[in-house]
Amino acid sequence: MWRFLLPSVAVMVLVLVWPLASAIYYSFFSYYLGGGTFRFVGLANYAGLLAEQRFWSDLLTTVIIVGCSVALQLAIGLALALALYALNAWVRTISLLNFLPHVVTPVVAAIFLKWMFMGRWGLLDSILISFDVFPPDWLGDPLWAKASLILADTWRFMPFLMLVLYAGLQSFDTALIEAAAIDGANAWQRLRYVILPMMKPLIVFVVAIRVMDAFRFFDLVYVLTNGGPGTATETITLYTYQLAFRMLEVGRASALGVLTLLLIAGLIVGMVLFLQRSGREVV
Amino acid sequence: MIGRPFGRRPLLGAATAATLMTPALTRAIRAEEPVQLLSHRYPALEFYARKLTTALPGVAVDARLMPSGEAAQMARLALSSGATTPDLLWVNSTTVTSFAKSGWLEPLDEMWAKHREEFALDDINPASLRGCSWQGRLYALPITTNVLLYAYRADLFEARQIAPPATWEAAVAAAQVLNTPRRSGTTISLKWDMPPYELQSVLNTVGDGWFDEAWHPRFADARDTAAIALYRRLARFAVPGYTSQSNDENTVNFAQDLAACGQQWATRCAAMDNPGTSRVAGRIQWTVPPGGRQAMTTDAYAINRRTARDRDMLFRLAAAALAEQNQREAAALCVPPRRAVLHDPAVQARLRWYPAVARALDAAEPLPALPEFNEVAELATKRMVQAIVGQMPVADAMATAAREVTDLLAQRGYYKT
Repeated sequence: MWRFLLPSVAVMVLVLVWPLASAIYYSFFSYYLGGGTFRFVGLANYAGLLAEQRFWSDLLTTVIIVGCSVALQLAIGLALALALYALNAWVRTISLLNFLPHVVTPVVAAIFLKWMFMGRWGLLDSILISFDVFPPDWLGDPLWAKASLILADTWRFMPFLMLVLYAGLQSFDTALIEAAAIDGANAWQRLRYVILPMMKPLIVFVVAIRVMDAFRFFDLVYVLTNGGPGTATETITLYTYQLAFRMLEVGRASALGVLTLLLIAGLIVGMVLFLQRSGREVV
Repeated sequence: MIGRPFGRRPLLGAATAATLMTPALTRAIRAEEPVQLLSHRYPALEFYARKLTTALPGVAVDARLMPSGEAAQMARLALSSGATTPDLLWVNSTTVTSFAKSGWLEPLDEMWAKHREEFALDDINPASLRGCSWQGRLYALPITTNVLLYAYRADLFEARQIAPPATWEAAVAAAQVLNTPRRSGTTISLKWDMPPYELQSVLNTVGDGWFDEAWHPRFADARDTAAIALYRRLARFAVPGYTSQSNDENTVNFAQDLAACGQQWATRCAAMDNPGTSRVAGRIQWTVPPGGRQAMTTDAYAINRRTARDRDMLFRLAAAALAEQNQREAAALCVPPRRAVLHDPAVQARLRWYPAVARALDAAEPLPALPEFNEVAELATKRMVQAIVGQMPVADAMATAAREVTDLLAQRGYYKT
């Protein structure tokens, strides 16, 4: 029987274990691609990164962008899922149209968005200027650049949350909602005291998935702002890319990759524990 | 009874024959394989990539063209891993020093001497060759020498009776006067995934430049700090989004009538006179950027040192593509390295920006010939942009840039006494 597992184990070793082991191995070396330097430095790469102001600032930027975009995605996704649940017709068409941004190739979507946010001749600016509104510098102002990235990420991933939450709503026992209505609960009370508690495990699950995914946020930020202006939108993954491919410091980039992995693993463990606890509460 | 179609002996014989024939077959297949070219993409380089495909009879070329950042990154990855392809690759004045120092490029001096007459190589501008050399050796063949010009709307300047600025302070004043809600006073591009070409002139003329003779950065000096403070004032009148834009967006801004002046690569001038792509065709004029000493760069073809192909054939292929006839055809797209084309009065009369290009080439100054300059730029430009957009006080940003660059170069073995 174990022979059936061999192909998948081989693929896992090749595409997951080997690169991960290589990254961990290189993280203990001073490895500069441009000059061929390769010297064992122990934990110096980790210590150097943790002592760097740029690492903490990028981590904070990542947390702000991930936190805001996932919160926004959840709020809009949940509202749309509930609206779809309440609809009797056109549900498939509307959900399909809503899902379109999520099926577009990430880099293509990022290029679309760049043309929308571009100063003066971008779609947003053109519309605002036609109404004599002086538009903000979407990608060039440190605050607006963050906001633009949050909006862009929300546009891309909100449909995923909407669809999962809508699928969850479909599986609920409608008798509970009907009973609450008979007992005199209004729409808000039905949502607050019946629907949301039923959805809590599902909400925690989709948020966990999105947070894990959003921490690897790269394509949108690379195309839209490349971390700029300055370091205003530089995330941890973008810094890793810059260390590896612009500064050619493979050792430090590997250490940063491993640190990011540990951070995400910590988040996953926290979310799983929370999920288990909330699951028990619901039961 | 069913007989075996093949016995063990015939099979073994066939396998042995195939094994013996493999090297010959591989050689034959390799000879017919196309030469792999990896290049940056813009109209002039696309033109030369096409010319390469027909430059030598019987030699096919498979060209992969992409934006400059991706092309440089892909080349770096391939060369650092010891790959035998690409056989030919695009380099510029910045990457050539870095790649040559790493030992990834084939030195071309001997082949240059051997084929000098066949391809009339003495006609190539020595300034262009400097952008292809490192420590006195030639590592690439120049395709085009690009130079930054100061592009301005002649009609708007005349209407406000403003002369093209001779200093950066005058450039700020002109941008301020010409700034309106619908058309910005200037266009700048500070996307920092490429060398900070547009900051070169202001750093060299208002400031003291990038480095002293011992490669110590000068950013923290009062003059360099003043240069970035001045650029910060200029940026107030720039088309928004300049931190996410490269010089191509300057061209779009001019073409869409969204900017009154700014720096523009010579290769983008032709697009300004095309009514199909520009709303202001014929209204842009060019001159040397204020004070000169602006960026120039050479785009060139280099040979991968580990290529499995015949190096002499690759050299001849690149040299044939750079023939005078091809450079005449491409004169509207780029500045030709061949003097016979650059100084041809007929070409200068046909392409109205050529006189400005010739003056700009005389005034220009290449970026520092430091193999690590891309890495330096990565650190320094980020801090300069932070200062320009107001994310950091200018003096703090420049001091941080100086410290980070000093640390980097010390790690790379500089400053050892």
